[in-house]
Amino acid sequence: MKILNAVEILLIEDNPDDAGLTIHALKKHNLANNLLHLHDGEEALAYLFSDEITSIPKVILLDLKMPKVDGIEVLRRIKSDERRKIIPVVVLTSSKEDRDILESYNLGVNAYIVKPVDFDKFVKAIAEIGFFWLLLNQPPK
Amino acid sequence: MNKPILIGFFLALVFGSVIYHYLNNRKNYSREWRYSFAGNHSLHRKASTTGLAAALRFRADFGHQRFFHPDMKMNAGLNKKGTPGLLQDNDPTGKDVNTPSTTVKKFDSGYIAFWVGITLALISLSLFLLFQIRKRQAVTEQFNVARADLITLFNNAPCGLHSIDEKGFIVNINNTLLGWLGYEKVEIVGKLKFTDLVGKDEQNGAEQSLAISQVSASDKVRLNLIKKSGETIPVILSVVRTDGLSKAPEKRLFSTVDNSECRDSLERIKHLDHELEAFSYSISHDLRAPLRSIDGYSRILQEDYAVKLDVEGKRVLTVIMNNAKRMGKLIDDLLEFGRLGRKTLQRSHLSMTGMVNSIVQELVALEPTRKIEVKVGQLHRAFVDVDMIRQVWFHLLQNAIKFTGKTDLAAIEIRSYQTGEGETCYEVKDNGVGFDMQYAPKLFGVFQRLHKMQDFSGTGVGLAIVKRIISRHGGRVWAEGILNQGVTFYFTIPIEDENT
Repeated sequence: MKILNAVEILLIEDNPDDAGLTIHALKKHNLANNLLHLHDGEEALAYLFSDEITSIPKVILLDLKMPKVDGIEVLRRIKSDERRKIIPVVVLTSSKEDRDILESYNLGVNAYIVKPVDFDKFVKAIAEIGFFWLLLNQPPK
Repeated sequence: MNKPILIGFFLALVFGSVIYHYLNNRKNYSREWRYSFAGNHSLHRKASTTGLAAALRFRADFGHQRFFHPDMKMNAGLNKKGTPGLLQDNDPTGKDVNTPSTTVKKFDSGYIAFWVGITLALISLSLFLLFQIRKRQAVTEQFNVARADLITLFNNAPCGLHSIDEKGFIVNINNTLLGWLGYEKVEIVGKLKFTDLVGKDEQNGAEQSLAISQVSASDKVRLNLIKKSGETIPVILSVVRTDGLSKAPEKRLFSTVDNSECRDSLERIKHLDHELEAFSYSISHDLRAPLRSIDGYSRILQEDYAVKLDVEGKRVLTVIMNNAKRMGKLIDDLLEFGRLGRKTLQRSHLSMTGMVNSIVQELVALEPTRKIEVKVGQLHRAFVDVDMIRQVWFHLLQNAIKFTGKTDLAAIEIRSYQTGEGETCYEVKDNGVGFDMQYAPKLFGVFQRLHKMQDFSGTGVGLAIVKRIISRHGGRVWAEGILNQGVTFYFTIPIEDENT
């Protein structure tokens, strides 16, 4: 999936239905124009650590439970890399297990959001994340 | 019959026959005997019947005869009084002590008395020895029984027992411990140090804790011992006795308790706990995602394809979405319930009054159309896990507000008092729908509900959470209700010493 504009949102999510809902919610608020969806951790690492990447995304939305390379590992790799650790990473997951939250923050996550089951709340949460990281937040150059 | 008794019997026979002989002959010569004595020694005039006295008498008399021979007697008399021969001639009794016939008679009776005395003395001695031997034998027998008992106990004790010398070598070891370790006694005693049986990584620690000579019996060391087969067995080791009695090399006796059952149980619990955690982690991640899709895509259908759906179609979609949300809530509550069992309590001092007031405000604000009167008394402070107790109050107060929903004026009262049994009791009383007391045992179960869904919403986990939290604080929780009149919930929290 190649796009012309620089990627603003990098969505790393293995569940296509969940990804569909997230994209739907972002689209509703016109925030999904420069979005790239990668389907697991391996794909994400391949993308992030390739030469193909010219500009850094404004935010990475990262699911935790994924096959092969999970979200925690992706987060660890990003945050331990000198050039990539400045990319804001938002964990977007179903789990509110204490150990996930703690480990994510220990690794330097920028935000941890639990996806609500209720769709209204879900749409609201996704919209707020989009507004905050794309419009309000000043990303590093 | 044993030997000493036979010997005793024999000696008694000898003794008996001598006495008999003596008594038989006494009458015949006693007169002369007494008479002859009287001439020489008035002291011995009265012959006693005891053998020893007779023996003494005889000796004195006989001695007199020997040492005071007429010639010598004269010398003695001369030496004493300076009048030679006078003593002999002027004897006041006028008896001739040296008359041969009298001497023979006297000798005979004295002779018998002597042997009677000797015999009696020997018999007395034998009896005494016999008695001592018997006593000794009884003691030895008791000692042997006790010793056998001790050895049996030592070897078959439910705990391992072993003693070591000052160098740490094992000098004795019981069968129990040998059985655990799979060694023969000869392979160990005097050949191995106890520390040789301890796992390599624990050897230093073991040596240190065992080297201290002042180890007290209360000191317990947890160790892993290595069996002959190479397997390990966890034990709790303690000192039973430190021998400081003699100058003999220091020796210490230890007991070991097999701890493997405890270790296995602990490992099983850890394993189960781990499994449970993995289970709830998986539920947390995997069970919610499909629900989100059900709700989300139903919603998209409802919003974006509304024109293609009739009223019934939209109603069906709403049913699907409501159920997805409800299931989401159930999963959340259940996960929360599971988490409570594993979470460690973090206690601090809490103003219950402050907490209750803030929760009441929060909940009442959600019901702007209702008339709710809440009386919060001055509540006792508590030393509790604040987050958990907040959940307790939240569920109880939420229930009180929920179940008074059909009364015109909801009256809720919260108070507390000390029971006098080291605990504080907190009460939440309402005038709501109440419940039939016959269902009271179901009240605090997971997913137990006493009301129809259309009357009152809820997952049925709230009170189960309340119960678990209160139990974890060491308190009790119960309820008293009357159908359509209200319910009172009670829970207790032990009054904790602030320093503990």
